[in-house]
Amino acid sequence: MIGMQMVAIIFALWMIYFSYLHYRRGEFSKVEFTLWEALWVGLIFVVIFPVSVKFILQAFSITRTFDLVVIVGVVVLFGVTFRNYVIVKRIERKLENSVRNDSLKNLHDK
Amino acid sequence: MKTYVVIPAHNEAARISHVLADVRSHVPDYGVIVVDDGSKDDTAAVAKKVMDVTVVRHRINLGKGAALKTGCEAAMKYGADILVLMDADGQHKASDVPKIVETLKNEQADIVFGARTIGRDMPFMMMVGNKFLSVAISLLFGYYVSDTQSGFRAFRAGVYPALAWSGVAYEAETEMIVRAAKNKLKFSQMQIQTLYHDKYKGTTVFDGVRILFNILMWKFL
Repeated sequence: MIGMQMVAIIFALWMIYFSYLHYRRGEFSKVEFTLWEALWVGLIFVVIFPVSVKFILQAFSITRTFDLVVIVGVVVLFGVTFRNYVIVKRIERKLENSVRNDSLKNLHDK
Repeated sequence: MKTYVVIPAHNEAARISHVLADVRSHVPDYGVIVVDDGSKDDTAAVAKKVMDVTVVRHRINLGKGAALKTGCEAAMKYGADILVLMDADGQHKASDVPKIVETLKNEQADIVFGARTIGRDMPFMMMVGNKFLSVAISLLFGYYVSDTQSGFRAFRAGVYPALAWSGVAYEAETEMIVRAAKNKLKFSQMQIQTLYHDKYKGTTVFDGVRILFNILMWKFL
């Protein structure tokens, strides 16, 4: 398990660095940066102290902390996919309107 | 009655001048609007060289549905009474343009769909997919159009708000039929001749699956 824990910790540290990088570039607001950092620090905490989430495991009848992480991960992925879908649709619509309106602006009188 | 032919075009520099010359020779008094949908070749420049043709250009490629919408809106701005839609790849014969307008007038229809002749010329997968979509639309909306994917059609400008599709790609043609059915528009069909120049262009099997999915969405959501 130590090997898996090491991989998870390195991944979380890597993501902490990237979150900080996006914040410094002005792509993340302070709130976004704080939320992402809290998520990655939380992940490291759970990886080092798996017993800390025992109460959640008992409440949902989950055997291992690893299973909980996988379940939460899948749920988050579904949420992110849905959000991305909505955002892409919105951007597509805006892009279409912008390009079409722009082309019609140059229409000469008949 | 002011009639406009709307031609969406994407990378058709090689054929567009021939298509436009053909249209001009058959219907010299109709307005012609070419929508260059973000072509990477000289489609717009070639089309502009043809006399009395309005060329509208999308900065990027949006899809056939979006190009048709832009073309129709341009025609509406010019005060069109009748709109004819046809493809830019030369698969439709310009000699059918006055015929479809006559059909629209004589049969007092709101919209006329050009139906390609099913025969050896039509690719097999296109034929099967097309029939399948026709039956699906007929069962779900009670509107049997024998060639749902034909890009050759004509309608009265007055029904454009009822038809105005939201699809940007090939599903727009099917959406037009579904909207016509939902708004109980009077329709007619006309046999047209088709020449298939490019087997890699047009609706693919994946488009067909996406269109079927959209048909179910339009019915149940």
